[in-house]
Amino acid sequence: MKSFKSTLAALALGTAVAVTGVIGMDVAGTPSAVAAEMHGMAAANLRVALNQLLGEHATLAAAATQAALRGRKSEFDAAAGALDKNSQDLAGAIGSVYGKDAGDAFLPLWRKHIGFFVDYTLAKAAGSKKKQDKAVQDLLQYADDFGAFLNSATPALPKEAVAELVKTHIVSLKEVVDAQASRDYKLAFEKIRAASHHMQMIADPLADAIAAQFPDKFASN
Amino acid sequence: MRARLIATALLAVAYLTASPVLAGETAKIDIKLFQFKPKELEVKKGTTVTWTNDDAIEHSVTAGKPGKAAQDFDSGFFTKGGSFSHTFDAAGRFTYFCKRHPNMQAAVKVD
Repeated sequence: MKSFKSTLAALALGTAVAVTGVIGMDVAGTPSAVAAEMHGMAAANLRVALNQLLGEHATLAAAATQAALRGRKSEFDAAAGALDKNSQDLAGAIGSVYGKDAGDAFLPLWRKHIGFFVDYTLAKAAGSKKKQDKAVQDLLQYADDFGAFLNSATPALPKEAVAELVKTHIVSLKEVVDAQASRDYKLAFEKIRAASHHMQMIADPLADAIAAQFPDKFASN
Repeated sequence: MRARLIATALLAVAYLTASPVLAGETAKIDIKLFQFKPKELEVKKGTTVTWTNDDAIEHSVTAGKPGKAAQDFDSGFFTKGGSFSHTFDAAGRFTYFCKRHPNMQAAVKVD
């Protein structure tokens, strides 16, 4: 587990994978390609794209934490790399809607909560209740940050409502890590499904609010 | 005549002491979407810069860099609608950041 620390820290700092603007570089149909097409797409497609990206975030995060908890370094590196590409895709999607500067500001903010989950996973593996509590507190504070970010970008999205949705996301992924740590795999996969499904609760209102804010970009269909 | 002169002098003193100090130039920086805008600002010596927070979260305007704060200025945390001003009396490039969100970094260049 200890050997993962540097890699985990790199992921937390967002240096595991360089920011290369991968949007549109993948084959058609992947989240990258979908994100690239967000500019000018219809409202329904926007909703699908955000659901895809956020759902992928939950499942890749679960894959990374499972590999980390079991000490499978090469698997963890691959999962962490894929998770960071997903983060870059999300930032690209945000940038395509709100402008590149907003996407650039979003990426470190988003990576921050992944870093806090790394902290939580490490603390869980080490059995440190104190560090687990610290990571949870950091994650809850992050929820407020994320709510504020989206509220600034789209004032129709109330900060508190977004923060509550993100808190639920945090709790759902925490339950995944807890089940993985206790090797209760049946429960772990139930929680992964729940965490994945919950992302729709964030993606749908976000997509609707964006479409309403930018009707020229996202015509309803 | 003498009384009039004294009264005039007193009025002049009162006027001068009540008059505001001649203000230097001013400049504004917006804090929105977790960014300082503009990220690089160039001003003349004596300029008062005012930062206004448009995000619904606490930010700070703290001189220096994350982990290495300088003593030049520190707004403390202030939230949406709040502002902070600092007058740059010396030339140089002054970096600053937000203590809560260390990725938020910018600079003021004073000529």
